[in-house]
Formats: sequence, C-alpha cells, structure tokens
Amino acid sequence: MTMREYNWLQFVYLLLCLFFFLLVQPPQAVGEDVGPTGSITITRHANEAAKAFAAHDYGKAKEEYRKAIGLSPDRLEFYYGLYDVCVHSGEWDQVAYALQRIFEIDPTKKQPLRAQYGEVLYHLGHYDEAIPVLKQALKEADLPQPKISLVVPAPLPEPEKNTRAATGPGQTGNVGSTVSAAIPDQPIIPPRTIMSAKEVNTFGLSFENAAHSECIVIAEYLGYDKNADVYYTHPPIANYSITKILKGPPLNRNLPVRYEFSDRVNDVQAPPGWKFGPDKMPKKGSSWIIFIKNALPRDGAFDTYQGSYGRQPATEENLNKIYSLMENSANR
Amino acid sequence: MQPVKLAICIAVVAVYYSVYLNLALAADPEVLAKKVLCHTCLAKIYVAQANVGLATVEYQELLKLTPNDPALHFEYGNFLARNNKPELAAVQFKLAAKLKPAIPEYQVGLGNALMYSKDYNGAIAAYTKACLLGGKYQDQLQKAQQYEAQQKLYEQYQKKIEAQKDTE
Repeated sequence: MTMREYNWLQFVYLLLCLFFFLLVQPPQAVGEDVGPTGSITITRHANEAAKAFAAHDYGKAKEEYRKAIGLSPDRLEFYYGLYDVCVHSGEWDQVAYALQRIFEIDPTKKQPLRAQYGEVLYHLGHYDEAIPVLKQALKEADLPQPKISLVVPAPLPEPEKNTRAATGPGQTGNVGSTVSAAIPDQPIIPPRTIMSAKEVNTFGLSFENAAHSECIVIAEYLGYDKNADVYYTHPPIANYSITKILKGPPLNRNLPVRYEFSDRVNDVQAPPGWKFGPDKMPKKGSSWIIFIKNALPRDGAFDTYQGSYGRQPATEENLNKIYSLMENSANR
Repeated sequence: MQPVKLAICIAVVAVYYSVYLNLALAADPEVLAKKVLCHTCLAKIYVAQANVGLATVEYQELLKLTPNDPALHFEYGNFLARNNKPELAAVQFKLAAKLKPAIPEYQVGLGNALMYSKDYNGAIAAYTKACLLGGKYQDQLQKAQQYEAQQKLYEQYQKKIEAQKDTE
C-alpha cells in the first residue's frame, strides 16, 4: 500500500466515523427545541394562539388553543388562554368550559376565580346561581389569596425547523420523551382479546363510550336552519333547546347542532337515491339525548359524538342507561 | 388607671391596624377589580330582575369603590331616570359630565333629566353643550326652548291673574 492509498483510506474512515456520529445523535442535537410543553406541535399551537390573540384574531386564537388543549388536555395555561380569548370574543359558554376545566384540574383555583365564574353565570343568564357565587366572591375578596393573572400566556420559545428530518415523517408528538423513554428489560404484555375489523369499527358506537363525551344534555328539537345547500356529507344545522344538562359546562339553552346523517362507521357515503327533505329530520318538540364530544362549537354549531350516534332519543330505556353509567362513573 | 391606659392603647392599635388593612386592601388593584366586577354583575342582575332596591345598593357600593368613573355615574343616572327619579338622575349626569365634559351623551342625559324635572333653562344649557360637542340633538334643544317659552308665558299669565285679583 502506497502512502497516497493510505491517506485516501484514512480520509474515507474519517468520513464514515463522522456519518455514524451524526446518525446516533438525539434529535435535540439537530437544533430542535421542544419548548416548555415538551412537544413541538403543542408549543407551535400555543405560540400561534398567543400571536393571534395579540393580533385580535380571536377566532384563530380560540382554534389554536383548542388544538393545544386537544393535545395536552391537562395544561392550565391553555385554559387560561382560552378563557381570556373567549371573554374578549364574548363566547361565554366557552369561558364557562375553560373555567370548569381549570377547577377540575386544580380545585384550589376555585376560590381566586369565583368572581370570574359568577360573571360567566351572569352572562349566561343563570342569575339565581350567579348571585350567591358573586356574594361569596365579595366576601372572599378581602382575604389574602394567591395572585392569579388571567392573561394569555406569552409565546413560548419557537421550535426550530428541521424537526421532520429528526423525528421522521408523521411523528409530531412528544419528541423528548420518545427519545428518552426507558425500555424495560422484560416487557410485560397484558393478555388481550383480538377484535375483528367490524368490532373495531363499531367499538365507539356504544353508550359506554359516548358517556365519555365532554357534554351530555337532554334537549328538545326545535327545527333546522333552512338552507338549500344540504347534502348527505354537508348536513344542516339543527336547533335544539336544552332542557337538562347531565354533564359538562353550563351551555346556552339554544343548542345549534350539526345534524350528521352518518355515524361515521356505517353508511359513510350517501345511500343511492338519498335526497334531503324534512322527513330526514326528527319530529319538532321531540326529546333527545345529545352527546357532544368537545364542548366547543365549530363554525357556530356543535359536533355530536360519532355523528348521528351522538343523538339518541330520550326514551326511558336510554335515559336509564345513561343515568346508570354516570352514577357508576361518579361512584368509581 | 393602668388598665384604662392599656385598653386605650389596644383600641388605638386595633383601629390603626384596621385602617391600615382597609387601605392596603383598597389600594390593591386586583382586590378592587374583583369587587367592581362582582358589584357590576350583581347590579346588572338586579336591574334585569327589576329589583330597584338591591340594584340601587349595588350601584352605591360601586360608586364608593370607583367614585371617579364617569361611565358608572352615567349608567346609574340612566337607571335612576328609568325608575322615575329624574332629580337624582340629574345629579349623576352632572357628575359624569363634570368628570368627562367632552362627551355629548352625558350632556344629553343631563338635559333629559332636567326636562323631566321641569328645569327647562338647565336643559337648554345641557342640550346646547351637547350640540356644540358634535351631537345631533337639535330636536331636543328646540323642544326645550319651546317648553321654556311656554313656561315663561304661563308665568306671565299667572302674574297677570294675581295682579287682577289684587286690583279687585
């Protein structure tokens, strides 16, 4: 081997070393910052929300907070953000939802935020409930309490680009935890039954799963918004009047619902010859149990759990089922 | 003598402490904001429920907390005017107009309250100010001037009758 060949081999060896060194580096080394949320996607949504709020684009800010909440449902900051945005946009049912989630996550916040809760009840027209809450808040106002500022959190540190290259396509979750997750020596695999494809598809279509919705109400059907542009996949907006809230925030009595015709499992496509008409809608004045998965309206109407499955007639049998499920969940 | 002195000392310290605590809490903007929020909501609830007595109490509590808020004086003035208390309403509108003289609505509120109190001269002055500030309240001003002219005629007529009675 000549000296020239030796030098060439040494160069190739160095290149290979460099390649493998870069390959084994964790994603952070690519210049990525997941921010305090521990997730690039969540941090991005939170930042977008804060920016939109600063630009007075409350609709976008709400959507971004909603997405951030969907990805990280237990972070208080996002609910504070949602609260502030919706106070500015005057969406008091959303404000009620944000406050209720704050109280669920951290019950110690009930006292310092009592006045705000009273304000929400006032705006929702629940005067009889609002008066004692506001009076209690006045009594407590003079007591020393921790300072809570209901302001939109400042934008989090912006995550760096190139994340897709580091995490791989389709992987947008918590990168830090993926990398540092400890792998047990002997993984314990719990015994499980294998479900058929049909069972998997229809698994969600049960009261047990529907009962996990954020909001369950009994409501009376009033009618629907007359609109010529109604198709199987572009449902009309049906108007209900809430008669009882079984679960969830104190929503406004008037409940606009996107009246889907499919349960998103069966009949996803329009059946042949299907044409919209008043016969496709329920009888006016009939009573229904409405399951709302996310108590946040989309384009001015609420989406029901699994489309048409989220609207069940309020028969004695169905009411019995739902009450017993809620009772069991409360006693758990 | 000693126990009396001790009691006085304790009383003085207690009063001083209570005053200090009240001032400290009153100065805390968060506590103030919270109280204002609660009283505002309560006032609006009582107004909606047509509970005039309790609404008045809440407005007075609000005025104690924020005595220099012209919008609050204006709102309270409107509330009093709606409940047939034009004299009291005029006081509130005057305060609002004094605190923010450049707002024509405050002057018009005052003018309306004075019209109901039959102080047409005052109403003319208030409406004139409102018009000068850029408000379009010429109709109200004209009406107030007509009322005032009519009042003057009536007074002259009364004087004439009294003079006739005296000569008889």
